[in-house]
Amino acid sequence: MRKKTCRFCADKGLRLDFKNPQQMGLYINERGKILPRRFTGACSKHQRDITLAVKRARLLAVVPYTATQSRV
Amino acid sequence: MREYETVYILDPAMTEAEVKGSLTKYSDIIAHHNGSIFRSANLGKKNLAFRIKKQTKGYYIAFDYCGDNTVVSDMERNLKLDEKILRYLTVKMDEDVDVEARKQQLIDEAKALELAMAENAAKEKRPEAATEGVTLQGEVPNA
Repeated sequence: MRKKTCRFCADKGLRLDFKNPQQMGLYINERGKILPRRFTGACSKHQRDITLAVKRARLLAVVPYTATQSRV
Repeated sequence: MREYETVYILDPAMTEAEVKGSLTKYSDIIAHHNGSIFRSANLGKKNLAFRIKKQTKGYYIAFDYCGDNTVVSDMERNLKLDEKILRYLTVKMDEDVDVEARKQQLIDEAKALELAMAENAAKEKRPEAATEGVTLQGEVPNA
């Protein structure tokens, strides 16, 4: 496990926007699952915020719940 | 006063006029409850990640406003009753927001963003991606 700094702690102005598919796409894998902390490199507080943002994005169909869903 | 953000998805079969009508309808609800709108944006017709009510695209509308709890319950009640709305979500952004200070903050942020974009465009000499059709203080943008 590398000592990666949390992107959100480093840059205070960076905000999680659950409406933005490009930003939310950084935190999910190709099957639509939320990436664990060792891949996102976030601290625990921001990992919880990321999880909440991805779940909200899923509700608004910004990202899919599962990858098989996107084959509409 | 608390700051809230409401995002909802409109049926893609709606015309421009109907979309604008929807924006003004909800702006009026907020104004009726003595709330103040910071931002209202039509984020455009986007592809949905999965089918909602058999639709594959939808208009995303976002409101950023400030008010008390009666605003939220009234907005959600209207969003629920409106048949053209596929999904909605209201999120509390902040407690104890000073209206004028926040408006000023948003104006400053928008200016800083524009400045940064202009600088980038001049430096790199290539077109930057345009920002979304966001307007401040409750003006209705033209998609």
